[in-house]
Formats: sequence, structure tokens, C-alpha cells
Amino acid sequence: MSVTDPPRLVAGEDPGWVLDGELSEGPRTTPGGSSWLIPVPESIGLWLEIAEDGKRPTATPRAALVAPLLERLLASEREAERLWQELNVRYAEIDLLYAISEILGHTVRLEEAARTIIRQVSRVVKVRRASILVWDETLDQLNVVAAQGFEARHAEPIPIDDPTSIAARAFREQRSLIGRVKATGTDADRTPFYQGEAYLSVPISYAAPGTIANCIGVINLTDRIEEDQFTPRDRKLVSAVAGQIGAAIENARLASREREQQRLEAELDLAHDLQAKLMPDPDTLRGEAEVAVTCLPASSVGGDFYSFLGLGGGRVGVMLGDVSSHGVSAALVMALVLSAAGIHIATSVPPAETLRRLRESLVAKLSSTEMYASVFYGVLDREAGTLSYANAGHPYAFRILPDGSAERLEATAPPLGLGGVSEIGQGEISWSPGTDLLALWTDGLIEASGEGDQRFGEQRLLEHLVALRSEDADTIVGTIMAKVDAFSPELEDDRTLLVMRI
Amino acid sequence: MGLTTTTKGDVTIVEVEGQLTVGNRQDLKHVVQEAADGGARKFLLDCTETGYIDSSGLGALVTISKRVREIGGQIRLAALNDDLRSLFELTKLDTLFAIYPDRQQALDGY
Repeated sequence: MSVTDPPRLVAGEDPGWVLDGELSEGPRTTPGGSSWLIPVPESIGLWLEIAEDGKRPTATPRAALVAPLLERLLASEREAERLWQELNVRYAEIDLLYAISEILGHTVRLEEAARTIIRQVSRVVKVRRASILVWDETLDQLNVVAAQGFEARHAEPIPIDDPTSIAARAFREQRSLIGRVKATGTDADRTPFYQGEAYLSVPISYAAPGTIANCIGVINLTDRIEEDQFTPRDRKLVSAVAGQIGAAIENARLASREREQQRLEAELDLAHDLQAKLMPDPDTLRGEAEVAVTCLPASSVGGDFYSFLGLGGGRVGVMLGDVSSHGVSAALVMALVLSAAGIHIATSVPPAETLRRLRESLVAKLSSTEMYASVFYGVLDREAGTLSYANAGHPYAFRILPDGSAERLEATAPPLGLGGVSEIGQGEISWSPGTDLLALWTDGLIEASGEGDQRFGEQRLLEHLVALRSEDADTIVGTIMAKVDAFSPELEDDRTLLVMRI
Repeated sequence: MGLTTTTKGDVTIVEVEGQLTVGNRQDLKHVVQEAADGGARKFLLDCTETGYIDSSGLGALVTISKRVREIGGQIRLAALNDDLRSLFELTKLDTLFAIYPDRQQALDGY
């Protein structure tokens, strides 16, 4: 008998030992010879080689006595290994939370931060597919802002009231959902985020200081790499992540709204500049007429407009009007009116015909938008000493005479867009070049309200015009606009005033 | 703005109280449309209590009048205050509406 001393530890597949009592022990034959192995209790695939001759020792060798000790040693090692792995997982989790705060501290753009975060979360929770969805309050839907395992930009938004979507339900119920879903048939088609059976859907909330938390998004996880099942631990970890990114997502949402607002304002500024360029500069009439005009839109863009053009032979065409309603829609119609007006004024036909053609150009647009335009158009003729005009429902056209009287140039038709194709009349009055003053304005000027809801009013404006009638055009407009501004600093409606002498 | 609808014979009378502006013009359209859907064809807008009509309100009145005419009906305005009366005249909108000094005169022979 030859006893191996010290015993060697042998690991490997069970070679089919002879059963002997409770222990499965037996000889092992290798090209180098035979030996006798006994299994280490409570372990699988580990044996002690206790004899070198392939025979069972008759007496229990000392070596065999160490087997129980070995067993305990192995058990502690296994426990240490398990704890080490557990520690690694915890470490990865803590590292994840730390990494997220790092990411949030260094990135400005939501999408970029969300992409990095979802990649890290997928790695730690061991999933193939994950996404961060953020609530779009305007459309009341969840948009995928970052995804792992699929392209975020290809993912359809999920309406909040979608009854089939787990993410929408987690959002609506403001609680995390953990479970399994059959990824077959229409459900999988509708929610491409769920291809594995196990899912974890965690709402992202944010509470502004002193307010109740609001749900602002969802983190979705599915397609787990190891076991197709999420544990309460996973839920706890992802909830911690959700808690950490809530404030960042809310900030990013607000920042993005702010950027959108700035972009819109920049576009409106551009539209304002463009709109101002559509209207002519008084210098274009130098030598033909003395004109001054100020047009103040209530918002960046407005519905008031004016135009003038030298028609040759001492004649000057002048137009002023107001498109009903305000803002961008009115501004678009106003741009249309001005471009059409430019063409029709240049053809130099009588004023009534100019307005009739203008109406023809605009009727479709005006009726489809339920808007209308009041327009005055007059032609001052220095040689003939006349003003011929047509007036589509614009009450604010006056001739101020040297004796201090004011004469309204009455409407000869309803506003364009309101009167159908009714006849447009034309008026003609005599005109004294150099002394008669043409004054045109819009209702925003006289309806400007001051203290006690009192309006500036037509009477007050006419008194100022009469008092200033001998001043140059720039002084008249500048003085009156300053008076209206002092009376009512807040622009509630577009304000336009134009005065002209020939 | 408050709207009160009553009927006298086959005439639907809508009293417009307060201001008719961009904020509430749809309400007026809705009230008239509903009555028209119920078969009403003769309308009378009583403006005794109407203080102010802005440009959108005027647009709404014209739209309503157009729709009522399209279904073979008609619309009359009554009791416009001096400012409104003058607004209708200055914009020539008085040529588009049948305007009466008061409710009774509008109802006479309607």
C-alpha cells in the first residue's frame, strides 16, 4: 500500500467511482498509473487522492482526516467568493450612481446624458434593451430620448393613454412595474421596447421645491442577459437612478423649452425686420411728397401696413390699412396684401379699380382665414390739385385743412374680405398742394387706453393734428406718437400713423 | 360676454351682453349655429347691452350672417349704441346688415 502524503486535491468530472457505503469513492486510472480518490464532502467535482497504488487504503490515512477540514475551508472560500461577487455588484451599482452624477454634472444636452446613463444602467442591470422616455406635455406623449439595443430615433412616441403600453401605465400610475409580458403578436408590434418577456418600467419624477412630485418620464428595461427576470434589487437600483436623473431631465426640458422660445423670438425678430422692409422708406418719395410714418406692431409682427409710390406726373399713391386680428397669421396676410398692393399700385389705375384688383388677389386667402382688411388708397395729384381715393371700410383717413378743420375721407366699400364682391366706390376732393395734410392711422392709435380705461380717442388725435398742421411731417408724427405713448405705454394693438403733403 | 337666447314666434332672439371680441366670438357663432341646426332661420341680435365689438367680433358677425344666408335665413341687428352704429357706418358694414333702432322695430314685419 502506498499512501499519498500529503494528499493531492483532484478536480474533474465524476469518473464513475465504485459506490462504497455513503461515499462514492474509487480508483482513478491515468496513463501514469492508478490512484485511489475519495470525494471532498459537500463539494461537487473535488476529490482527495489518498493512495498512489490504485487500491483503497485499509486503514484511514491521515490524509483522509483532513477532508472535513478541507470541506469547511472550501465552504468559506465559496462564501468569500460569493461575498466578493456580491461586493462587485454593489460596487458596480454604487459606481453607476456615482457615474450618473458625474455625467449629469458635465453634460448640458439631455440626449447626450441620457444616452450615457442608459448605457451604464444596461451594463449594470445586465439588459440588452433599455430606454429613457421623456414626457412631452404639449402632445401628451412619451418620447424616447435615449435607447440601448435599438435606435431611439426610430422609436414611435407613446401616447400617455395608450392602454397597451407598460411605459404609459408606469407613467400614469406613477409607480414602477415589474413583471413579464408575452412578446408576441400585436403587443410586440405596438411596443417594440419589449422583446424579452421580463420587463422593468420605472417612472422618473421631479418635485420642484415646495411642490408635489410630478412624473416627467420613464426608464424601461427588458431583454435581460442572464435570467429573464428582474428582481426587487433591480427595481431599487433603477428607482435610485430615476430619482437622480429627475431633476436633470426637468432642467433639460426647461432649457429646451427656453431654447425653443429663443429660436421663436429670433424668428419673429427676423419676420419683424422682413415685414418692416416690405414697407417703403419715406426717402423714396423725396422731391415728390413730404411723408412721415411710424408703424409699431404690438407683438414682433403686426397686421398694420402702409405703402406709397411715386406714380409720375406729380402724382403719388398712398395706401394704409389694417388686417384684422394680430400676430403671425395677421402678419402673413399683411405681407400678402402688401405684395399684391405693390403690384396693383404700380399699374396706376384709378383707386377703386386698385382696391378691386387687390380684393381679387386676396379674397381666397381672406375668406379661408376669416380675416379681413380695412384699406384706404388715395392718389394725390399735384398738377390737378385733387385727391381721388377708394376706402374699403377704413374709418381713419382725414384731410386736415389750413383753417384747422378736419374732413373724414369716408369709406366707399366695406372692408376687403367682408363685403363679398360689392361695388367699390371712389371719391374725389380738391387738394391744395403744400398746405393740405393727409392723415391716415389705424384703430390701435386711438383705442390706446390710459388710466381709468380711458381711450386716447379720435377727437384728441384730431386736435393734435390740427394744432401741429403747420409743422413738418416728421415733427407731426414724432410728437403725436410720443403723446400716445405717454398716454398708454403698453402696446395692446398695432399703432400706425402716416401724414403726407404734396 | 353673456348670451341669452329666446324665441318670439319663428324669430330666434340673441341678446349680446358686454363685449363681442376675439375671446368670445366663437360662443356667438356656436349659439347661432345650434339654433340653425334646430331649424331656426330668422335671427335677431339684440345689441342693447353690447358695449364694444372689436375687429374679430365684426368678422364673426359677417361670417354668421353669411352662413345664415347660405341656408336661406336672415339676420337683423337691433339697438346698436351710438359708437357701434357709427363703427358700422364708417366701415360701410351697415350696407351688409339690416340694422334697426330697437328690438320691436326689428320684429315688426319679420
